[in-house]
Amino acid sequence: MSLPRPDRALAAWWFAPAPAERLAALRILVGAFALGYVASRLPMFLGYADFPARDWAPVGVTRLVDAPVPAPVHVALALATVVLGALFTAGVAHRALAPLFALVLLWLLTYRSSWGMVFHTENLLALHVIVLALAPAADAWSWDARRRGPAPAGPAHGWPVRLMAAVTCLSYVLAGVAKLRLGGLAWAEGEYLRDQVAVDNLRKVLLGAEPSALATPLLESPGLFGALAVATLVIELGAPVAMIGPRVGLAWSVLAWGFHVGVVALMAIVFPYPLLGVAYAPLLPVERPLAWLGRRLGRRLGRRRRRPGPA
Amino acid sequence: MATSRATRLWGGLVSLAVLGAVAWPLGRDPVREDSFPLSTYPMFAVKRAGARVAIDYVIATGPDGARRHVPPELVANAEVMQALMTVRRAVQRGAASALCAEVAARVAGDRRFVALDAVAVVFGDHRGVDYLVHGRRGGERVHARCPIPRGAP
Repeated sequence: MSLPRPDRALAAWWFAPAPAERLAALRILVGAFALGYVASRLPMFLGYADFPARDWAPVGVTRLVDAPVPAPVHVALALATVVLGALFTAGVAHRALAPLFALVLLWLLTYRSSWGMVFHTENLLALHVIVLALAPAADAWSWDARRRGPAPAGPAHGWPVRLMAAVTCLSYVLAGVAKLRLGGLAWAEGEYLRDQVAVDNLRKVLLGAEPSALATPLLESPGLFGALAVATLVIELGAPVAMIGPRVGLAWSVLAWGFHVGVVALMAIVFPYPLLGVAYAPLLPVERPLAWLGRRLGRRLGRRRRRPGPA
Repeated sequence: MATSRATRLWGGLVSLAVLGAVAWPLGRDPVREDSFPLSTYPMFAVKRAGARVAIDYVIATGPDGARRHVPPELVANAEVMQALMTVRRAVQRGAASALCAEVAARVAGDRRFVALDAVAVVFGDHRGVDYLVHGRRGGERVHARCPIPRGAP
């Protein structure tokens, strides 16, 4: 018996069939997160319309324009992001509207980072939405699929899930590589991290924001930061192991989530996408809890309909 | 069979393009060439020797020596780093006085600042552990100072 060629084995794994519901669950989770994220911060996003043009520092796609877009255009794009986000989550006209949503979301999030400060809390969200927009993510649990029913499991629903998982893992690897490129192995000794925590909290104090309550007492224990630094590098550089399977994926996701909890505790920096678990959803059979939730909701609604009304 | 081939072709192209794009920053300068959403993820990676923080910021002061750091929403928006960039850029282009007046006007309507009467855009050079753990403040230099405009009683 001969072993399969590595490239064929890789392709077979990458294109292994997956249930249409898994990709649909990711569309619902990521779409609902994007919708909630933009809608709840709409005043903040709209506020960029009033930022002075002299502070314009474009990055990524906003480099396509020399100056900030006129305020009404910005407002229209922000509102369109909310509307398209709702349609994306519900799976309405996915092939036509999902790429449009991916584009306006990418523009809006990039626009926020185009004033001298590049934010790192929304990268995965933008990338995951792009992948979902280019995949048949509305073949189940969607407005589009309400009449024809869910599509059977197939390779078309497998590769986007693996790609989203790979994007999550790769972004952590990049963060780990950046630490080694800038600090070398000395980064693992903890002083870099301790200084970073001190700088971040002091900057908050000077700029009138709330620092972390834990930071000051912990800064007095330099040894602790060595352990935290090693753990950070292991989680970030070890991210690809999460692709092995759902159990390892779950274990790594819990560790990575713990890392973000630590960032909140030490620096009061919130990464909502991983903290809510959405960043790790592609690593898990995420359709199962959603299906269970749907069945429970269906039974409850059914009971309510059957209950006799008041005399 | 044709569908499967088309799926593999499309899936392969999208996968290679996306993974290539996400990995592309590996070949770029992690600090100077960061972007969005294709990031080098330089946060927490840069050396902060001595936890030194040398930045421009805005404080409100009172006649009895009281002082309060002005929160980001009164400087730019709720984003701390956005406030930092707003102050830095104003100082760099010689517009600290204008920013001071803008912030003072906003502070005038905020109840947290009723006991204070002036706003200052300052440059401070502090050490993180000294400041936070030992309460030792570093040096400060005032770029601009302006009164908080209050209406007649």
